[in-house]
Amino acid sequence: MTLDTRARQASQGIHRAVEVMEMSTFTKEPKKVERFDRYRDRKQRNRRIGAILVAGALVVAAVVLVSTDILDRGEGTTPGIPPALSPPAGSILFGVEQGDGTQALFTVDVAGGPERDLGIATDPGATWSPDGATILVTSSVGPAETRSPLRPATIDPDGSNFTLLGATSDPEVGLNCLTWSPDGSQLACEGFSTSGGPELGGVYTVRASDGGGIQRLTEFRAVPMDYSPDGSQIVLFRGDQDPESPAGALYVVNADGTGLRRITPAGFAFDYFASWSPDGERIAFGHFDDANGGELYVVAPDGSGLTEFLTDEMLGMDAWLATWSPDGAHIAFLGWQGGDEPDVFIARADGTDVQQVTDTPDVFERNLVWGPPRG
Amino acid sequence: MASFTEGSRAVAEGSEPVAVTSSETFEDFYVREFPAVVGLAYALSGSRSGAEDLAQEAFLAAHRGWDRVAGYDDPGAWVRRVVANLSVSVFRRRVVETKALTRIALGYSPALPELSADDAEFWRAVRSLPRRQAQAIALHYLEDMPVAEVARVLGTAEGTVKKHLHEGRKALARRLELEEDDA
Repeated sequence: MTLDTRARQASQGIHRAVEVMEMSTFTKEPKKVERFDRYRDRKQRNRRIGAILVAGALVVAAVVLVSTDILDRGEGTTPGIPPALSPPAGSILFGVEQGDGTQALFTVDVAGGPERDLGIATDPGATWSPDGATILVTSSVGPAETRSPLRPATIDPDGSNFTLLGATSDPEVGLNCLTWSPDGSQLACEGFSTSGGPELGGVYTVRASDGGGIQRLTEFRAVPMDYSPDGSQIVLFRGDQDPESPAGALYVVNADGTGLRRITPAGFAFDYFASWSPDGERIAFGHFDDANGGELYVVAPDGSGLTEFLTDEMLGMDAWLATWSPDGAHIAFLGWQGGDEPDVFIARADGTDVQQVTDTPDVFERNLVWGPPRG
Repeated sequence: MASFTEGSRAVAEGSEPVAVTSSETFEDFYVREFPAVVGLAYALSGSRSGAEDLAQEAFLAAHRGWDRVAGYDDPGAWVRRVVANLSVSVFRRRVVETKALTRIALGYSPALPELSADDAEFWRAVRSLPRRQAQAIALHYLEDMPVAEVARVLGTAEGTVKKHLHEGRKALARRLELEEDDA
């Protein structure tokens, strides 16, 4: 068969699908334009509701800030934000989707400068080691014989020196490791059955030195996003049952697998990302709703204090994928102002002093991780 | 930025060319164009649940600026460019899908049926191309658009579209293990 023939058949498939849609909606709504009217009305209603909610939230925030100011008067600090801010430093690692499920890796200095292409595409979730000396990737970036089963591996920040951490020998378990313990000794991984079944799905830990010493922490598949700063707990993102949905819930589990608890409502967290603040008090994550778009929320590790953090009103854009700077004074996020693809921004942890880090209208950055300054 | 005032064209599969005039109502424009626009959104987003919302987003943008958009000779090209850009934005798609899936959880179901395995595989391959190639391929095949029309919709030069089509077709033929026809 030729490409043209196949393309025309596939086009007919789309036309038939639209016809079926038209037939089914026509029987419910004889005037098709009513469907548009309903969509527009829903958008307008949601905007009104959103405006009311934002106004309410601002009033509450103002009351809290005034109260806090009264309590803290004389100390000159805002809770959670270091009093003396040093300029943001370090490098943000991010991925760019390649269309085949992998992400090409780039780094960019928060102080400015061009993005650096590491020349490597890996499974989503690459991250800096705690000392910024290496980057955690998967074995799929190595030679063909390392690609299955999936195992952790490291590369140098310039993309060189692929090192397989393959000491777990069980071929039935695939491991996509996504975060380091703060002391650099352990990796937390999303584990899955290489034969496709659900039975081995779970969160696992392995030694960072060689990938051995595997321990299973949960009986359900989830994505370990970040360790607590003291290394005692891990925050997990568990996606909704629908594989197409980017929504899910955050859980926290002790590093030994005990104490599992859900800390956000189901479906509340958005887009497989969460970042634990360096002071250990808050976990930042993205939330999407129809009224307000994408906003950053925080929640305490025990599930209390779920609240808006950096809103569309504060930032002037939708925001996702938060990652704290190593000193906790700043936060990086993916911001979208409409139109082209989103870019990487940084702001002070109170949402002020927003600065654009990347300016790539055709590139959709993913998986931002703020690493420490080198050297 | 391309002009949308360079003439009119057929916009829906099987329809005759329609000269859109500034006197046309938004409702007439919507009823005529919606099937083709939602088809383009479905092909480029691959989302049964999100394609209709992507199309509605594009028409909402047209509705907001209808006084201006209606003045173009070809508002159909304008709304196609909007939906093509919305559909290939992973970010936007994720937002729309989330909204749509929320509604599904509340009992709604997508009106678009699933594609056959072969057709789904073809459009998946198209979506794996760089975004401009994917848009050019979808417009070219879905609506039988010649290069000049694709260029007008995408707001780019004909030579650029030729390059996108050439490279996109080559990549698709390789990926799907098909013979590439002469363009």
